[in-house]
This record gives sequence, structure tokens and C-alpha cells, in this order.
Amino acid sequence: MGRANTTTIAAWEMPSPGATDSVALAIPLISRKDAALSGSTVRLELPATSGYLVLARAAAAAMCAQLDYPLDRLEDVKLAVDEGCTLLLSDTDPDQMMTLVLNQDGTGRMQISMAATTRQGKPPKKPSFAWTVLSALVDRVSANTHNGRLTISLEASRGDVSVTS
Amino acid sequence: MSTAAGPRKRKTSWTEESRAREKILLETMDTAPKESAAFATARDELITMHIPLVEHLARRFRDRGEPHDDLVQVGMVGLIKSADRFDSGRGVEFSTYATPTIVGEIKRHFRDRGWSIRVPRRLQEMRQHISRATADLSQESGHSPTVAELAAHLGISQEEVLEGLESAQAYSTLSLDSTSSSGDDDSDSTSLTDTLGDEDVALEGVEYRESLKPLLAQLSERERNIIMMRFFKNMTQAQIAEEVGVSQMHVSRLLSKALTELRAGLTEDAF
Repeated sequence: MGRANTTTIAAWEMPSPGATDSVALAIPLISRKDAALSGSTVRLELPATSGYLVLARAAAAAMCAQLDYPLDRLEDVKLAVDEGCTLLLSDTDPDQMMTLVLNQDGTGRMQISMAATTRQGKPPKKPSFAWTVLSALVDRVSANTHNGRLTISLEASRGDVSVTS
Repeated sequence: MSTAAGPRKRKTSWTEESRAREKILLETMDTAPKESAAFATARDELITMHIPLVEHLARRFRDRGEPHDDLVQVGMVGLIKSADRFDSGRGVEFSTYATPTIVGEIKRHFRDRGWSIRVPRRLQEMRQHISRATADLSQESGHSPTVAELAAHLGISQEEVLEGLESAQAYSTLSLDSTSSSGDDDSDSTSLTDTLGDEDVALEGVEYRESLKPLLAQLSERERNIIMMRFFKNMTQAQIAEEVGVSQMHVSRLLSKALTELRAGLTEDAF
């Protein structure tokens, strides 16, 4: 209602944010149409606690909507972001920050990366349940570590159905 | 998280013996002074005896977003109240008397404290609109609608659709009016029973399947099937919705919930 071009991220109060929690947002404020055509990147810096996953999910959903993903793909991407972040957080101390980067390149594909400095600084096991789930939800999943920082990368697309409106 | 034998195990049947025992306990409570040890022991036993009833009633409210253990706990309050208020002179069975009290406490829990984040009525209604519109539009076009299509159809902004989706995902299951499929049995998924046998096949080659299996067994049959279809058979949420005969939003909610439960229970080391 009268806020067509803003991206509403937090629709309700955050679960008991500690005084030191901070959230950084970088969202390109251009019109939906331009964004979909030219590609854009959203970057979120979040405290590495599960209470902020709601923001990660919301940002992913917003980008899916911008790309006109059908609802079931959108929910898959949200679920994947949730799962990927949870996997990342399971090896991250809560006083760390987690970086979520959502990128869309103008072709309808979406690249998502989640990164944090983890305790073990190594990638997750491939045959794990979390990995199976991620692989089923998005087109591509990969993980790499650099200097103790683990990055989980996902790639999603609109799926089989092409929507032009 | 719960290490109990599993919520699906049926408790011992209500035998004549326990019925007789209940009668004795109630008589004791009627006659013994409230301060006496005999009264306290009888009261304790009467309560303990009916814990399965609380668990049974709590299960009726599963799939509504509150942990089973929490519901059992508030249900216990109802049971204790019933034990303290029951008047055997009324001529009704204790369980008949206790059931509405227990259910009342559980419902009160949902109403008063259950929602860690309160969902505005507006969002609850929007969720229902979105769910219906998703079904309608899917049927029309043969594919899952986009947020833009939903917004246009409902005459609301895309942001509002997204807001509604997120609230649906996390909290809508709490609505006590929602026609949840949560019966106490799994008869609602008859069309799916044939997929059950495939479970072993689908899990083959999954290294952690031994740790996964007992967890899957604790989910409702429907949740288990949905998990298998989505993650091991690569069906889309829309296909699953059609197969199971529930809305796609419900599929997505069940997936999310089941994943959370599996995550909590899975002790595998992901690293």
C-alpha cells in the first residue's frame, strides 16, 4: 500500500535483539523493472544467530519475487537459505557475523552465498543430510573455505516453467 | 529433541484393572483428609495414570507450530486441576471430566502465550487469501503463481504477499480455526501409503540413513512422505501438493517444520 518500491524486510519485531546485535543492509533502491533487467546484488551482514534468519529468508524471497519466480521455487529458495545458514551457524560462534549475498545477473538466475568464520574452517561433508536437502532445493550447491572462512554457495533458477508477463 | 520413546507409540490400553484402580483412588480422595499422605498418594497416582490422556489430547494439536512437549506440559496443568476439582458424586468418568479441562488449558496456551510472535489478524486473513489464490491460479495456469500474479489477483502489493507468505510459513499453523489435518491417525494420506515402501530404496546410498530413519519414523506419515518426495525424489512442492491433496503453502510449511525437527534430532556431524 503506497510503498511499492521499498523492500520491506522486517515485518515484525526481532526476537529479543541483544544490545550489541547489528544488522547491515545494502539494497539497491532501483525500480523493480530495472532491477530485474540489469541484475542487482543485495548484501546482508547479520549476527550469526538463528534469530536473524528471518531477515535472510525475507531478502531471498524479495529477490525471487523480483525475478518472478513461481511460488514453489520461491519457497524452495527460502528453505535453502534457511538450511544453508543453519548449517553455517552450526559451526559458527554466535558473536561472529554472517554475510549473505544475493545476486541476480539479469538472466533470471540467482546466486546466493552465505559466509562466516567458522570454528573448524572446513567445508561440510557432502553426504550429510543438510547437503542432500540443499541439493534438492536449488540447482547447484558448493562450499569452499578460505582463511578459516566458510562460504556456502547456491544457485537457483526459475525452474522449468518460464513466466513472461 | 525429545528422547521419549516417540510420540507415535500407543500407550497401554485402558483395562478393567486400571478402571477399578481409578475407582479406588477416587474413593480414597473422597474419604481421606486432604492433608493425609493417603490422599496425596492417591492424587499422584490418579494424575500419573492419566498422563497418556494428556499426551493423546496434545497430539490433536500437532502441526500447529507448538512443541508437543510444551502442549503436554500445559495439558498437565489441566489434568491436575481436574484431579483437584473432580467430584465423583456427579457420576461421570474422571476422563470425561478431565478431557475438556485439559483441552481448555492447551487452547488457552495457544491463545495467551503460544505465539512467540503474535500474528496480526490481518496477516492471518491474508494467508488464507493467498493460499486460496495460489490454488486457484495454479489450477488456471498449470503452474505455481508468481508473487506478482498473486498481488495482481488479490489487489494488494507484492510486499504484502511476501509478508503474508512469511507469516504463513512460520506461524499460521497456530490458528485453532484452521482445518488442520491433524487427526490422531494417518488415514488422511491413504493415497501415499504406496510410497512408503520406497523409503528404503530412496535412502539407499545415504550414509547417515541409520541415524535418519528413526527421526523420520517420528514424523507423521504425511510429513515423512513429503520429505521423501521433496528431497529424495525431487518432486516440486506444487507436484507434492497435488499428490497429497493439500495446498502448496501447507506443503511448504510442513517441509519447513519437518526439517527443523530433523535438524534438531540429527546428531550427525555435518562437518
